[in-house]
Amino acid sequence: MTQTHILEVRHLHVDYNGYAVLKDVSLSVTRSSITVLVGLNGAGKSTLLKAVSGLKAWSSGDIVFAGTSIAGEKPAMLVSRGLLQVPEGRHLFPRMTVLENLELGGYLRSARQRREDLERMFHLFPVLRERTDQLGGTMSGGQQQMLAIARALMGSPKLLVLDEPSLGLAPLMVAEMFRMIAAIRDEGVSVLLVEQNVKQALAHADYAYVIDRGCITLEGPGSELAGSDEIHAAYFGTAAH
Amino acid sequence: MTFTLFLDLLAAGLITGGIYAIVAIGLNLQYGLMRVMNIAHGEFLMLGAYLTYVLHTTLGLNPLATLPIAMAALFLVGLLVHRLVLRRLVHSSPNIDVFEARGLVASFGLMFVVQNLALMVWGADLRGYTYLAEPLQLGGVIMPHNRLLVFAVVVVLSAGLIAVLRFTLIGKAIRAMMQAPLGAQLVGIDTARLHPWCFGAGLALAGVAGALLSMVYEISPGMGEPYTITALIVITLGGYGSIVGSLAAGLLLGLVETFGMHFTSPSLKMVLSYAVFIGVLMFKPKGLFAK
Ligand SMILES: Nc1ncnc2c1ncn2[C@@H]1O[C@H](COP(=O)(O)OP(=O)(O)O)[C@@H](O)[C@H]1O
Ligand SMILES: [Mg+2]
Repeated sequence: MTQTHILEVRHLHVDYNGYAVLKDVSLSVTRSSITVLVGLNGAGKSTLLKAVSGLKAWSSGDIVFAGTSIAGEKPAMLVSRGLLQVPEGRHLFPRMTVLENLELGGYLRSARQRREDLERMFHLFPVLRERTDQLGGTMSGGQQQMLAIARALMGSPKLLVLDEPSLGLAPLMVAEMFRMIAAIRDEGVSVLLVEQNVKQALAHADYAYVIDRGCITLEGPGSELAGSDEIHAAYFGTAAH
Repeated sequence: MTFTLFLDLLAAGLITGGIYAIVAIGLNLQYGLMRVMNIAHGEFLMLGAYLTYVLHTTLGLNPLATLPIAMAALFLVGLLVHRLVLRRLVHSSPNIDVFEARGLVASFGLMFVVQNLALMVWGADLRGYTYLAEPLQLGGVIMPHNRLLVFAVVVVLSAGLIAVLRFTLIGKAIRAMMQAPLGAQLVGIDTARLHPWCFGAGLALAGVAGALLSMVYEISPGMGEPYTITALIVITLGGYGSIVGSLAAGLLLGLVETFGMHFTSPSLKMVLSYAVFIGVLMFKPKGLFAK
């Protein structure tokens, strides 16, 4: 059986020291699609992504990746299974070069695969080829975000999870990045994208969810949500029509 | 100051500093990487010294040949200590700060245990042996062969270590863990599995430093303590998690001490170190090389 969903989050409950942050969250990511999760600050988006990447345990519910539960699996194991995350704040290796950052992105792959993927990354992100010897920490915010995405792609993801990649980027850079994400999807990678940049995120979403204080309150195709009154009331302070 | 005296002091400073660097890099692998402020670090240096002493005086092994043995033995001790002490603390501590505090207390205990075990076995007397002690004249500088040998080994070890960290994937992974632990996990580095190895490597460096020291100085169960303090100063100077920083800072501290003692008094050695330490904490708390 081939599953249409690469990721399924089922009735997930997560708490920090007894304080409930995610309450019965269910969502799924269809293969080779961009699924967007939007919500205000503190809604629980990053917490959900931590659970998805094996960084945070949950109290009940389940997360199924490529047909198998990820309960109790370490992040390194999930990376080897093709689940890659670009976390909030990027967490690049600041005192290592662009090349070293990329190489480490392919830490679990063979030397040959690494070489081939490196060439693909330079093709996809020409700016990185020009800067192979620059230290990661000395690049601009936009370049760092590109490097962070490229580093994750070096792990050959089936599912790429991105936590607010547009945060702090200049508008031109944001547009470029959304184009990039669409291109990655077009190569067959499934994407779960968390954003506060609601308008652009929904414009690129195949399917979208809205999370509010730990609960999914709305879902639907990106274009549909973009026109919904609830979204407009919550994020733009106006109605759609 | 004559040029010969300058060369004399320079050589002495680099040799002392080289040892400091090796010991400090070992501590940095523990603190910079996993926040284990191992107060017992110098005790493992002492164990390395006694191991070489015993292998040389009872089995007649060449002290140089005992270096790999001391490294391997202390590496295994490191794995054992990690397994018996630190792994428990990792699992029982709610967060990294609590882990650091508990690790500090545990390593204090370890210091007393190891030091007193050494006292029981070997007593408090100074011990030593002579090895390549005849002097060598090099461009006006007169120096015993054994000191040159120590320096050569330190250079080879540091170069090897830096090459591993720079050019191998596992070395890059270790640097990655120091610079961004979460980032390291998210590229698939199994940090929990690598920690014991790094702890062992840290102790192996302490062990080999001790073995080297036994070639030039007399040894005693208390010999390690000052090296722990010096290593702490060096990693603060060079930056937590920076191996090249530790190397540079170790050499620098060795030179400052050697030249400083010559122009003031040998009894001021620790005062000089602390002065450097306090100066750095006041003016460059993130280390000499931090930008
Ligand atoms: N490590 C933590 N310890 C305790 N509470 C946390 C922790 N991380 C996040 N929280 C809380 O969980 C809630 C959701 O946070 P987060 O998932 O980061 O939200 P978002 O990414 O949507 O902004 C917030 O109320 C936040 O204060
Ligand atoms: Mg967040």
